Amino acid sequence: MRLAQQQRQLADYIRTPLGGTRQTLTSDYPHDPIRSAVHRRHHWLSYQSAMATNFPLTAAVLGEEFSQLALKYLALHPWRQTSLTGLGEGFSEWLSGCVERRFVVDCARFDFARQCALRLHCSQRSIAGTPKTEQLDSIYAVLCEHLLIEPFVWNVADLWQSHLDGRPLCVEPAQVWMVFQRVEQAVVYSSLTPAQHQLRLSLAERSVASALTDAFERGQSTDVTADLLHLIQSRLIIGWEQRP
Amino acid sequence: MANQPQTQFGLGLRQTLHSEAATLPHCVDFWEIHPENYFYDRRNIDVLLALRAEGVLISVHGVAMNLGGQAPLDQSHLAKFRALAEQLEAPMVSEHLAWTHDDEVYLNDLLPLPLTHEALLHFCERVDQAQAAIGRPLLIENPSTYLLLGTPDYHEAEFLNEVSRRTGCGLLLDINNIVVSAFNHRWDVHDYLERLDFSKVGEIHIAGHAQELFAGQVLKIDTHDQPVSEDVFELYFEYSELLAGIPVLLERDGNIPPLSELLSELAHLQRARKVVCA
Repeated sequence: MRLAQQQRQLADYIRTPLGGTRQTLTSDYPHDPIRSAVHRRHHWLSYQSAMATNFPLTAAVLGEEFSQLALKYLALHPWRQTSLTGLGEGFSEWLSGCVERRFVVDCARFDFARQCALRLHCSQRSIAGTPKTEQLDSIYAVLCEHLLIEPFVWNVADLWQSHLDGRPLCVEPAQVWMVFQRVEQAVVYSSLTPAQHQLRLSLAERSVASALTDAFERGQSTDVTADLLHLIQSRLIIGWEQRP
Repeated sequence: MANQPQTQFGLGLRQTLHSEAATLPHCVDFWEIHPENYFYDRRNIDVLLALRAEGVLISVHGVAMNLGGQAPLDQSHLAKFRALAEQLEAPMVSEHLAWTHDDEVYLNDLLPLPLTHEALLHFCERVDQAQAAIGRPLLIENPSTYLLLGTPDYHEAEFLNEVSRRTGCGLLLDINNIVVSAFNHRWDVHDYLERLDFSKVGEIHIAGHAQELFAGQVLKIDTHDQPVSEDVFELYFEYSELLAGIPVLLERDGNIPPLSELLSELAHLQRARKVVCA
């Protein structure tokens, strides 16, 4: 068998999703299937782990279900870059067709927004001569574009209100609370109902900086990040003061 | 011992170690990076440049050049590799005897090549292309393998010797990978090392691995997520006089402990080597 054909067969086997029902081996597959499975397992689990790294909030909220959804997504969207930094682009849109809970899709959107902002932040550190305010503006724009934070918070607040009203939740209250902790005051408050507004007040003591620092990677606080947080904070305050 | 050249000892610089490395730049003789971690995410480039400014050596060890694959070599990847190696004035640049892509899909693994004459010609042609693109010779690392594709025409050590002879590349001798592959394929580690041309070896890797029961078969798996295994240490010590003067890297890619713990392990390696050589 020629080299290219050998590699093609092994690659086809490795790329067969874990737990998939598809026929995984043809009768002329010449390689030891048990040993080939070491590579198959590594391939899928390393990508699954990278997805959990890139979507930490969504992974925490969905628990074991996240792993299954991530594998399904990856099987449909094979990754081509050698860096896994941007892995999961389009995951939130795809997820919206898989889960009924809008709240979960918002979490994925939040995670991806965080990734985009962080990536932009990282890439711009090396662009000499770019005015810092321009850098911050572009990062802020990316964050806003992907985050859609207003409906996100609204959805979360509705879920929490359901919990307060004693109605059954589709997720654990602790999960909703965790999301609140992540986003806290990074919201546009104008659309909140009185009950939701009350909830906001209970969260108001926490700073925007701590919420968004958490949204960025821990330990990556730099001068630029600090300035970015300050800018977002000031804009949110303006947004708050201008609300009806 | 007194006449032996000084051996440098280094550590793999991974994401979680950047801040500690920045504060203790000279705690090792050299650091090694995976360049792919810096191509799109330049957060820690400043740390690398600061280390260089302190005179610290940084070697560049690629994991995704796809030298054994079928898709044309990615010229953009090679250009980034070269730029980073030049920016860091890397003393060593290395890659693997492996393939990593299926067409353009990145498989995120180092997959085995058959040890056939056809594969040798294919691999050498691509090493030539890669070396031309990066403007310098590579060190090619022996892989950890679980699976043998096809009927071999060469012993792996002789395959590597032949790659070196035909392309002018050097070799990166990963002692852990020899232990893993030898266990999995029932090879004799001494036979392997005696076949390998040590004069071509430009760097040595030492790492840990796991042993797993995999569908009824016991296999050693190259996890790089544990302290160096005793059998790896022993094999290195056995050949350490012959390998004197060749830089040694302690690799850890998963479950990465604090820097202090890795330095202790490295110090243990250095002390034990001195005792063995004395």
